[in-house]
Amino acid sequence: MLKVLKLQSYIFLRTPLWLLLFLAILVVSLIMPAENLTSLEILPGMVYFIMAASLLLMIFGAETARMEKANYQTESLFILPKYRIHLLGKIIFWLLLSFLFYLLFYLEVIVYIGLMHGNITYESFLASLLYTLLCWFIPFFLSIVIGYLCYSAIPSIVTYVGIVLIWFLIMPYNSLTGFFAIPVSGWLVAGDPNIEQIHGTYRLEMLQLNYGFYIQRIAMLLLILSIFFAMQLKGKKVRMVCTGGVLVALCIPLISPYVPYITESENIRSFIIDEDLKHKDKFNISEYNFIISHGRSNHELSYMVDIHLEAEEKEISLALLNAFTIIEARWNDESISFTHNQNLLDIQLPNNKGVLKLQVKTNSFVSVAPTFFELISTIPWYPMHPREATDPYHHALKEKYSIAIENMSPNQIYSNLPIIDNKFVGEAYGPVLLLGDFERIGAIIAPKFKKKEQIAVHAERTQKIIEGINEKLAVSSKLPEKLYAVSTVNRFTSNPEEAFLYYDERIDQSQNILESLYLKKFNGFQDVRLFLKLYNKQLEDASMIDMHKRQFGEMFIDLFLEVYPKMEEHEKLKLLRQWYNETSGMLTTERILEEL
Amino acid sequence: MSKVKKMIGVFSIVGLLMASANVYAATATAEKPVNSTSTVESVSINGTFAYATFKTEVTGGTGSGQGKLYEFRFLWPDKKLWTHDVYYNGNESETTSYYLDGNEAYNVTAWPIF
Repeated sequence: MLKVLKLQSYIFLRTPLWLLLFLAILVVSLIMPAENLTSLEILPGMVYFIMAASLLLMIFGAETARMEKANYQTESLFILPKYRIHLLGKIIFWLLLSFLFYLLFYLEVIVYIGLMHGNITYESFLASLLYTLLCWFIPFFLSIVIGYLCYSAIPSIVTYVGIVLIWFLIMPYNSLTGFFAIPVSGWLVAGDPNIEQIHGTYRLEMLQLNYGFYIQRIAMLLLILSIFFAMQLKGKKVRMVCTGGVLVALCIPLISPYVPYITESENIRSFIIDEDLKHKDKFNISEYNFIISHGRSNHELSYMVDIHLEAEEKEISLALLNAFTIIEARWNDESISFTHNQNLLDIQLPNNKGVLKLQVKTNSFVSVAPTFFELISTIPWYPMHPREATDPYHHALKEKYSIAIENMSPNQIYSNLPIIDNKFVGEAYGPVLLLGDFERIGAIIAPKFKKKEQIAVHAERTQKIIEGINEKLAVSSKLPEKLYAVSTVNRFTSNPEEAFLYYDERIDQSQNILESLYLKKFNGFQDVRLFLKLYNKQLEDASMIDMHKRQFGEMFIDLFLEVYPKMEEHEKLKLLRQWYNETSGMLTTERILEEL
Repeated sequence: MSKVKKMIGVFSIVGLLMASANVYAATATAEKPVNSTSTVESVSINGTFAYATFKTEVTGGTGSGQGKLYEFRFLWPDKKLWTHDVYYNGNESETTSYYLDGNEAYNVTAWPIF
């Protein structure tokens, strides 16, 4: 075997051009993105350079095959008794070559980051090492084999066009461009198929390897190596084993319980009740008992919940996001029917008091990802009273909770509930469960990737916004005591005890803070839209007149514009404060016309 | 006949959506209506160390769409900063105020949803 490796090394070194090209790409990959290389967390961003290196390795593989063909090497070796060892040696040589190339690539990046920024921790080193082994090293190795196979199968100049096409299909470019739908490209891509997502909503998935990654690499290695040996060896047994390998590899994506990709999900917006609930909101919930299971794949999460409730009427509506599906509903152990539309779960109860047992699952909820979840108390990811869902600050309700998380230690999760007997137990306005790389930074529990300075700026800006609104409305509201920064709910939400800030301090959240902390809502955003327009001086904006006429009526806008713009600023402010004190933001056109 | 109708429907929606980025206290103003040939980098603006508004709106007719704001870096994947979902019957316009770092460039895109 050593002899084969030595021979392969001689052949490789005989063409110094390859050495020069490999060195060139290593140098370019360090110099060109140098200003972005600030921490190990950014390594997934090196994707374009990894793709370029992979293309070079594919061409190297093809050139190796071309050289062998030109020298009739395969034919000569095929008749030798140790041909199989030679073949194995070739694979091992490519493995070592790609590993050496990967190692140099990885080392130059971490040495540069270490020297220039010095922010490498053991944790980040380990995470980046694992990530790059799967998303850099394995694609490098596969690239050589694929290039070799392509030219061996079709020894022609046209093959190089095919190589570029295959390169495009198995590189993250495929998922970045959306050439194939993500459930297809996610399985084709040998690197990280979630580059767009991790540079957007799923920052907490950066450098994280989900189970699907491992399964995809196993499937791809099995597929490519099976094809390689099927093409290089002869014999019925070999063919059968290799065909089996190909079939198993192709079946893996169909049967795998884990997928490597993350699909795009809808942003969470303000909860709005579109229909008249009549008396369907006349009920009280006293207790919730959850058993939650995290699927660790895409957005998969399921739970069983027992809800202890008492209703005035037998027909009730619970708020539950459409992203969740009810598998089964039972009332006091008796199966009952339900409808789930427009984020409302309508149930006809057989009697007024009992336990509602629901089996719920999701595969599209934006706050669930393969390696983390952000389940917060202000979002109806669990069946919630509809008025609380529309306005968790002003219609807050406290209940008892008992939450068990399957296959996970509760110590891995940040919660607002204490841990008792491996369960989260206690009273709260709703449960907060944060799984992933979170830590307490000052007064805020925030994702670890946030810097202390950024969190300080965030807290300061939020405080300034609150002071500004307090001054304008002549009130004295405060931020709740417990603060969390989350990455998937991109608007400020709050209940009387907890506030959830979007992690990016650069987004101005003044409107969301005003809406959440100050304005009372019954059915949702539409209740306070008129007040918000007045607060922001948008109702006088000439460019928005048509839209406002559609929203509030032509007559109202005409009358309003006749009087209001002519008023002095201090008069407008006085009116705004008066309307706020009287309506808490639930202002109507009639109320405005009365005053004007 | 039905094919022709479908095409008209598609293009009328495409023409309705607009995403724009207007920078306060700066010279850069960028605005681009969506059309069928729009690319990912439909608008580029440079950071100005100031707040900018990112606005997406349905400008008429019926339809729905998405506006996206990206941070753009040379030879680096675009970083999606914000998404607006707008639709004619309800949420016709969305505006987000965003602090533009002086060293970065930004892209705004608008896509219809069919």
